[in-house]
Amino acid sequence: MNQDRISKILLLSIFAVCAAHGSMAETVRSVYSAAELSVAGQQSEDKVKGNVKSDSGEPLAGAMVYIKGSATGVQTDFDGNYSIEAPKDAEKGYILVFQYLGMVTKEIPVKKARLLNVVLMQDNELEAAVVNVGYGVIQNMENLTGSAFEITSSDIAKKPANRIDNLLAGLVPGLNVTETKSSGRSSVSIRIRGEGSLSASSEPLWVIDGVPIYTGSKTNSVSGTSYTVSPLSFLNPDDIESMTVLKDAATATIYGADGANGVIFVKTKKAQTGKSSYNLSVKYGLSAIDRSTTLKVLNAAQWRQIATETWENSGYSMKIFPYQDNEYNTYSTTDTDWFDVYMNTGQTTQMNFSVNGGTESLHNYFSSSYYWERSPYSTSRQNSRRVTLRDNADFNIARNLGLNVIMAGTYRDDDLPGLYSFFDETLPIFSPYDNNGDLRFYNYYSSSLTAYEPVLKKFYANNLLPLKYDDNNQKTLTADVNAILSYKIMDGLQISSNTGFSTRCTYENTYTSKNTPSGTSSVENHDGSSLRAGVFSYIMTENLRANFSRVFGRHNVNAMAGVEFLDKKYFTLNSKGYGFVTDNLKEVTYANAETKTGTSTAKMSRKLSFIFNGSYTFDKRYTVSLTARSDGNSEFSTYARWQVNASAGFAWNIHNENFFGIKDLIHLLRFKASFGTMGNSTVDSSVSYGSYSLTTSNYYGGILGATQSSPANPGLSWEKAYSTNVGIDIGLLKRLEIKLEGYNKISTDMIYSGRVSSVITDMSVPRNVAEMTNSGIEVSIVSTNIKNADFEWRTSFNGSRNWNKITKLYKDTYSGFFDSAWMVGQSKDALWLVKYAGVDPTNGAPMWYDKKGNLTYTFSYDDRVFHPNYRNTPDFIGGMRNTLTYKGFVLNISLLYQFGGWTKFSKHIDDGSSIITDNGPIEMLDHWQKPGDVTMNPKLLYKNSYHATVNSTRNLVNTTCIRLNNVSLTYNLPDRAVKAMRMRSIDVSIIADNLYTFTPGQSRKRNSYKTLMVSGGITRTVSAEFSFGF
Amino acid sequence: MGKRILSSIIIIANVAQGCSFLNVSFNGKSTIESFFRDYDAFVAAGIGLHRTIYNFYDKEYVEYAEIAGDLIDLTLNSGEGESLLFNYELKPEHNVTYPQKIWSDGYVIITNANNIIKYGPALLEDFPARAKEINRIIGQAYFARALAHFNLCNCYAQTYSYTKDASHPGVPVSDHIPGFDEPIRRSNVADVYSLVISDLKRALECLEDDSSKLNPFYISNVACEALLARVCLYAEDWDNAEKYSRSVMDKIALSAREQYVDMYRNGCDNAGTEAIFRLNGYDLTSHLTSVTDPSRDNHIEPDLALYGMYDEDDIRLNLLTATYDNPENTAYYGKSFRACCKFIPNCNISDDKKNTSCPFVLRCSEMYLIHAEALCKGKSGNLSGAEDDLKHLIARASGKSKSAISLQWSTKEDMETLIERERIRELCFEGHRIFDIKRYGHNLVRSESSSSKVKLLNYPDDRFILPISDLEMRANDQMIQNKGY
Repeated sequence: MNQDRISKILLLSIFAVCAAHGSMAETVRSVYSAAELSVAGQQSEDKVKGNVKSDSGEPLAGAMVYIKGSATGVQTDFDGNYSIEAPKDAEKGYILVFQYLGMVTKEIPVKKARLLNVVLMQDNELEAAVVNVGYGVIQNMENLTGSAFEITSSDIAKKPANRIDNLLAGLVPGLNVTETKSSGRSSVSIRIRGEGSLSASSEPLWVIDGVPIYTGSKTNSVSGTSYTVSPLSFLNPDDIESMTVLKDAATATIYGADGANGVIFVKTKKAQTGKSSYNLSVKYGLSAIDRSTTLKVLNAAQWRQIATETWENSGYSMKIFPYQDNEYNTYSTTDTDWFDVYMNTGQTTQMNFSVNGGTESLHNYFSSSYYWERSPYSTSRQNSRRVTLRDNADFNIARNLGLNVIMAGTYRDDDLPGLYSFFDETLPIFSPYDNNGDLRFYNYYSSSLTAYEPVLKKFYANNLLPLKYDDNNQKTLTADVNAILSYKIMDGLQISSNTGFSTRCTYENTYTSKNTPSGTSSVENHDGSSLRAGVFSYIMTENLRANFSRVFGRHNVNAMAGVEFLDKKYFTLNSKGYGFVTDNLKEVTYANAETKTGTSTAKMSRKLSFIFNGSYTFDKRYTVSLTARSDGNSEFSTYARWQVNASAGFAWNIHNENFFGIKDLIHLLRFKASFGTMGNSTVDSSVSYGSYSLTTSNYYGGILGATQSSPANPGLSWEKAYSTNVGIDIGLLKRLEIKLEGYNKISTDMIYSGRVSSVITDMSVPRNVAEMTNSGIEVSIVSTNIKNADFEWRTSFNGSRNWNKITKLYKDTYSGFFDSAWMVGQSKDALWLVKYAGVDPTNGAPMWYDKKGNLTYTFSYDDRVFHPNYRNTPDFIGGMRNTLTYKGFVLNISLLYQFGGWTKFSKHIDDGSSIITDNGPIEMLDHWQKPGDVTMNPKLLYKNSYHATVNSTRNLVNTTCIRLNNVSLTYNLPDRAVKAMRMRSIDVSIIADNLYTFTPGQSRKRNSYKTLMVSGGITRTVSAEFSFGF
Repeated sequence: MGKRILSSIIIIANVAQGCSFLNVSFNGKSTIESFFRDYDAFVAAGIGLHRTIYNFYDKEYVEYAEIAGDLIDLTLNSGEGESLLFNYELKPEHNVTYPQKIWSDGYVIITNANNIIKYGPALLEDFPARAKEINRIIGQAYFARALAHFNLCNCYAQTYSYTKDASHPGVPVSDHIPGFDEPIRRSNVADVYSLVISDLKRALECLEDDSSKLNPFYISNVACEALLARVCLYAEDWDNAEKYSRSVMDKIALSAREQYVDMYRNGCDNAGTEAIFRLNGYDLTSHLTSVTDPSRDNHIEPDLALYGMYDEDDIRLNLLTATYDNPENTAYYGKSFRACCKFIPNCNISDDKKNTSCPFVLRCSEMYLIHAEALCKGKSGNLSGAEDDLKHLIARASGKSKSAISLQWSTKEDMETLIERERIRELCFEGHRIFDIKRYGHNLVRSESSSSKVKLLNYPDDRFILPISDLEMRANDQMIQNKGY
């Protein structure tokens, strides 16, 4: 067969399928290669010439132009020009098709040879049509056998730019983002399809442009510094082209032994050819704490009422009440709202600049950004500054040889002073300032229960002092370089080498001033303490692979084989000392010599992996995929160093079947299923190698000796997950797409500590013994509700439900924790609490149920039982996004929701036990006062033994909530106005984050989940953004 | 083309590197493998090994042998584990001290020894110039492994001759570092003894004979022979017991009478010429010192009957009474107390770090007793030879010449009684007594004054050995509990 015939057959067969369902985008790539062949062997005929441009006015190089129904086609040149011969029977009229990846395909009827200039419009829908799972494997959404969910840049535009992990909240079915605040500092954890491990990490693997990011050995925090600035806060979200969340074996097994918790593959923006285009955006926002979400505590009058009642109930005279007005404190008139003291207005500023363009032989994307945030917490002394630089250059060195170089650097400077974590318990009768107006250092009160004996006491809870004098700063510099050399051996076959370096260096300095209560060990001996820490992380990767992608008639074959090397080094340094002469000299050098101490740690590990991925699609109907990866990890001892993971998937496009007759109604109906294994290797390596230690407990004859401190478990290995995924995609009326997925993930060989024979060791040791399942369902709906010339309304909705169950523990023992326990047959996060029976109306005493269900006045930990109806995790979670477009206006509304689940409200309700020293929540007003009162809160008693704050069902609060997470209104200026200013585009946006939170039990006067959700309250931000393209 | 070559080179270089790519050297890490790559660390492991033996002897082993025996009395209010042991009320569920702690501390010695035995040979290749020293430490590890197995077997298993072929359950033999999933079963006593003997023979090969300049605080060649003598005695291999004890007696002299008390009460400075292996308590807080301290509420003191076993001029009697001779201690000055003084340091030791006890593992006096017993019970039945051995010890204790000592005996049984009496007088409180009772198959008979609930325990009895702790039973499916528990 000659080349023409091959290409003719190819094109015809592809077009036949395409025509059947009207989705052309996926075929563009295959058309490319086919059409190229036909350019050869031209005959002189009539020609159509012209130019193809994008809607932004850039000439489109490499756009496909072909005659519909024939095998004739050409590509545009660098300036977007093309020239195509008309068919022999041109007089009858024919149709010219113009295609470009990411643009809407245009079909133009032609009768005679002539000049035809065409503008192709950007198509956002098309971007989602392919999924990038890493290692150069790009899968057609239509043929995808596994569960991958892609977020594009438009999904995360206009969102807060501090970090990239919480951008995913509510966007991906089955992905739960939990953001917690401690002392005003945020930390985020991500769970994909539930908790995948007991003691190893349950965090997903993050991969940025092929290089895995070190997000801590076990949790999403890194060791070496006192506070973690997340490694996921170093990337500017504006540089992200797409984030793909890989959830099942068919997609994540390509990451093998690190894929068990799911993988998030981040791809940064790439260079385009063409005239340089510039983008500049400026965003400024103001933030404040949403006071409806802060804990409601007693004000001074209420506190006095409760404290007096408690004091007298406990049999003490008010004559010896600890707080009586004196020359230092006027307790009777002070009413401090400590939230107001510490909360302020915050600000954020973000500037992005990027330039993109170049020639065919060199095109380049460069971006820079500046981000600054001043938190509303801690009287706005929490500050973050970030500068990022990124460059992505594509060199076409020779016809088949390309080099892609990605370089990125980030500098981050964070001031992280926190608040005393119980600041909301500070009594409202204390004032942050003393009588001279200075910051208050002491309070004068009595602590005696027998007499009024006031003394000056340090006011540790006055955070204004440390906020003013202490340092808590981290500076981080990251540098990432990727060089990807690719060589195209033949059509469809490419080999490439990806060399990557990723380094991160963090310097932390904290100083506790001698001018604060905690910086002074005694009144006379002011000292201050200083800590300096350094963390250095170096990751080097080398990836060699061959990618193959060809269409042979009705057969579409994709394959990739590769080998990957990864070398990770992690070092920490730490020095500290105390006893300083002056706050001006706070380097450890100046500390009292005897107090100086220093430590350092080093950790190094390597991985070597062999990867294979292949997929085959027949006639756009049936796809099978196979993935296998073998991983070797130096963290494990030689016996258990290697693990092989494999997966297989199948997809069936029912709508492409000839027998499928209702294509007008249902344009998409596909079924997919996958099964495979994945691993989780985030364990502490010393566990598998064992350790020897030189410690003073090994002295013998005055000489330091060494003994084994933990035994080697050379068999310790990866945790393994067996994952099954099934899904159905349904598309209705080309308006509505519903995707349903169900999964079952069995985590086996989970690491769990248990005793072994004392012949080995007398300690509990981690072993691969436990098993757990996570199963669930996910739904994702994308709907175009209304679409006409001027107005469009699109909704995307997703939700998921996960069931977790521990199926095996070491010798079926159980591990009890404070309020939860791991037990076979129970969920990992099952609550393990004593059942509360309310207050005895006759005497105001609290009552519980014991294990047998009998009423008791005595609280006992032994009466803790599992409560299948009360789970720590919500039953159903997800998000919804509505996009309304009218002419130049775009309104985006994003909601997050969660239904069900319980949390414990235990921090403060202690029925007066500590009311004299700590303020309580407003619920304390509802308590038992006289016989006959029916309440949940017992009679107030100082230093009572109710065990109120410990583990009973009394304190459970339902965690159902709906949050209006992000609202943005954008106005794109009309083209005419823009062109008049010689610009390409201008848009203006108003953005609101965390606008409103709704919980069912909320009340202005009482606490609910709304006020407990985030310690210190939720930050609400309103910003304005201006973007210019020129 | 150049690029193609370049890429090929990169690929080849990387693949070549891949072979050893995963063998990461953990600089600055203390994983067991990397730790043992260094000679100095290996030496430190040898030191640490001795410390594990010290812990075993000082914490439970010696105490067990005496509390379970008939030579001491226990004051009221003693620790729970000690009281239970004294009253023969120990159950598997008592996990805090007895019976678990001896077990686990014994296997700690074995684990540390196994590490040295496993990694030592590789070090020999890397540091050939240090071969002698490395071999010495490997030899010490074999000795330690043998000692721990032997002692554990004595505690948890009936004595060697309990069954004809010693086929009754012993303890798990751990001659390598076991994997977590490896079944760990009890070997029979014969197998434990055969490991002990083969380990000691290997230790003898590794350790040079340096008896002339012996440092008794470390395991030595002569210590191996001495332990072999004891093991053979327990195994009733009289010929070898005689052979090994004779060999040691030829190399090591008994401590002089003048040295005798000081050898115990000032061990750090005066290890004693007869010391073969004793544990260095320097700068360590001794449990044995504390538990024998008569000023403490709960302590161990000699049983009243023991005092009657000595002649008045016996120097060893001095070790049964503590007299407070420190005038600064006004409450106790000049007063005397019943006390096991072998672990109570002299009050006049000025260096606080030496104010401790150094428990004996092996000393030459025991060799005379082993030799005597081997002669007495051996085929030759050389009773007068046995008498001569005993006279050596008695003469030294009394300060008389050997010829001035006369012992009353006519039969083999008489001689056996004399030997047992001498073992009591010489070796009391040093961790031998309960094992001697079991070995001889005697009943445990405590004096009427004893505060124990058990004044008589007829031999044999399941309670003569310790139960296996519940912690072990639960963690190890293969473990078989001792009869009667």
